[in-house]
Amino acid sequence: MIAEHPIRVLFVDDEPLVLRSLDRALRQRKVSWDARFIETSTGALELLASEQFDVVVADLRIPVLDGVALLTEIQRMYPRIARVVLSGQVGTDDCLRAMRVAHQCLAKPCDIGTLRRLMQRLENGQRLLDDSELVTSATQLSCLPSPPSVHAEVSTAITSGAGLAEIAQILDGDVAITAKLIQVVNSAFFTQGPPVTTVQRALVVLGTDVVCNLLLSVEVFRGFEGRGLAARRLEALRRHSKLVGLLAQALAPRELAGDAFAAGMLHDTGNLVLACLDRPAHQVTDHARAGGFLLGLWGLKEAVVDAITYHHDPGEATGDAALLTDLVHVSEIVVDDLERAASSPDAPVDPAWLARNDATVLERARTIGRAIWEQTP
Amino acid sequence: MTSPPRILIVDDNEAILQDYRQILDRRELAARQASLDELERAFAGNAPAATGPLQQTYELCLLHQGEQAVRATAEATAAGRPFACALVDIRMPPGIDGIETVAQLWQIAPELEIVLCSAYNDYSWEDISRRLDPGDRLLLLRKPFDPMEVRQLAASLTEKWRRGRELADRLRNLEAQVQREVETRLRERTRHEEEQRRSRRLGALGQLAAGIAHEINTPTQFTSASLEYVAEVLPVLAEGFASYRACLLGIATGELTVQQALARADKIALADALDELPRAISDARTGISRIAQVVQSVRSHAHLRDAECLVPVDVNAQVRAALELARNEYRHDAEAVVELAEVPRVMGDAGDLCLAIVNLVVNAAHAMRDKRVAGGGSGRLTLTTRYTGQLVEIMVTDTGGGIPEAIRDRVFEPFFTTKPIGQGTGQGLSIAHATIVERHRGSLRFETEVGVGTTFVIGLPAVSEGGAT
Repeated sequence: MIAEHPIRVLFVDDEPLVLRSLDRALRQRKVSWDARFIETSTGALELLASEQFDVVVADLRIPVLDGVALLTEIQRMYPRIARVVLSGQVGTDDCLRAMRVAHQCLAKPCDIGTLRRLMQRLENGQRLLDDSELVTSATQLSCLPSPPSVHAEVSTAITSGAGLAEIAQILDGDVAITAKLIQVVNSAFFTQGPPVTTVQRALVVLGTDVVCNLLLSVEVFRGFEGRGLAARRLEALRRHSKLVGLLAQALAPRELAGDAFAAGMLHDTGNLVLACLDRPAHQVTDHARAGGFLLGLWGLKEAVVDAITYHHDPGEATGDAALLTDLVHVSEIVVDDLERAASSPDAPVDPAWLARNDATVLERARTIGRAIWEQTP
Repeated sequence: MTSPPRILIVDDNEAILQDYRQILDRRELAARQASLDELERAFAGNAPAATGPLQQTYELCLLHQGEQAVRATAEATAAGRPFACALVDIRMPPGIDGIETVAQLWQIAPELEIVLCSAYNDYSWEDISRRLDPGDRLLLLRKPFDPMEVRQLAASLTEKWRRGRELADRLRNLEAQVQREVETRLRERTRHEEEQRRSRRLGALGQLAAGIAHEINTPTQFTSASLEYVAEVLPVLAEGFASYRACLLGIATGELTVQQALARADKIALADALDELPRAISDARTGISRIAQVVQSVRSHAHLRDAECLVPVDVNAQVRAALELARNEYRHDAEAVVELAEVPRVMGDAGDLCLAIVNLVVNAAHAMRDKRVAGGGSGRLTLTTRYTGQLVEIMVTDTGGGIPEAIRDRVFEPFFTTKPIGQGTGQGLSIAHATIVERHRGSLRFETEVGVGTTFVIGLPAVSEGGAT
């Protein structure tokens, strides 16, 4: 079992006062985690060699190796450790560099409550996935693969000076880059306030320069290098994801439309994680949990992450996430039916879903789904 | 329709003036020609085309004396109705002669076409040339003249004058157009340069702002964490005091013996909190004063930046401020040594000067970082000021890798950078150069030795004794 011990966190910051004040406040709050504090990256690497940690929270400007270099080293040597940046930097260049390797970025000043929520989510994510190998490989990833065609098209578009609209067109429906853009835009460097869940909004917030900079970086955007079958599956995933996203969005109440699209669009992110591992899913829920784990690690909005995690067993979802989960669940079933071109009246809708939803909702989903199916290339 | 060309005719002989009128006035001409036209119509059945120089209408001005002619010309020119051509007799007693008249006419209207007429061979062309610069606007006509000759002269000279004016007009228009074009381009270029300068400055300000934000965010972090601790620990203290009070109450009511109360009080663990609280408060105060310091160093030249004019600036203060602002850039890679001499003030913009020094310090820090990362050990950053008797010099010396021969000519070029994409804008040194050389009329040069380091030297003219306050 993974989370039997308290979560172990290593803070690295060159300012002793930052470490001392964190230490003091955390002890007083009696947090459930073990925290250690160190001022240099060399010291951090020594500690990591002798003790186990689950999370490293590093400043960007630390002596010897800077924060990005330290986290890159950790990604290579200790792939299981979650990588978090806590920095007072505000320059776009530094932030982009950080987001290539960090799972999440927090901005100074950051209160204890924020740190606590972050640790809580990391802990929950690990407990839910409960698959050591999958946890390790998902944690090591800094990006997901896109179909080779998308990768080639985007590279050509950017080097020939294409605008944001053109790039958005190419990216439309790409799961990997949607996830990454939402991760980056939600880092504390770029947005404060409510989480962003749509690619359109992310593109607007980040702007052409940052988006192009991101997309040209191999740490963020890469083509899939796997074999033929997997590559074809990746292409198929693109249309499937977009259809589920559009349907979930169409079915959702207006205030949830953006989140519903994001959850639908990203519901099979776990398949990309499994593809990177070159491992088939043992159970149908593996990919859902793996996707939820990765996107939780990347700091996506909690309800969206839950909807992805539970889209095959909506009964597990509670609170705000229940409705989103239901939307993704039914959307995927309808889209699956359409893909098989054999829409059966006895679609295997989860009983938990039926308990919460009317059968007319399913009918409505089918009608709208068919319309979207016909309109989507 | 344009008004007919005006011809000035000056001759002291009234009879000759009337001859001219008969030859050139169209009304006279028309009367004589009408009968001819009748004939032509009778033969050919159509009206003759009114063509040729002989149909030209003129407005004639007939005068007897040179002085009158000069006055009339001045009035005509002033009224914007200049004469095209003047037929001037040479001998016109008692007034000035024709040659003098022409000389004066040309002073008023240089483009006027002149025909000098004389019955006497008293002036040769050479004589006339000696007194006038004939150019291409002077003809000689011998009396007695043939009427047709006069008509041809009048027609071709007025036409020549008209074309000359038209050409001059066109040239003037063209010149004005070119001038306007040049001015527009120049304005555009100036505006463009101004924009570039502003955007360079904004870019530099952005860099500075990012640096300042970092310098503020870090102390804010530990100040707020310390205060969070204080907030958390206060209820603990309150609880502790309540427990002590309960012990006292126990003794008072006889429920507890003094021994028991003491034993219980010993278990109330406030010692940690009481030890830690002053430290947390002291840390918070350190944070606040560090923030105040940063804000102070920004503010100290923020108001100077508003004034575009240059004022006497204390260079040493700017060196210290720059070092403080750029501290974050060099502190891991080098120790800073400051050797400031007593120097006179320079005329400058304190904010811009400080920024220029910041840029040099950042550049030096990066050079030493590169060397340290490559295994070259920690560096030394030296900032020195001195007075040469004319110039105040600021020297920024690093112990980095030096500037390779191949790129020495390019270091002040905008956007030239040796750093990987994303790590430097390549603007720092070009901003420093523009600030020092363009804005402050100073100099910026460097001495460098590969493997040893680089010294950038800013030279600024000192404020002369008693020159400024």
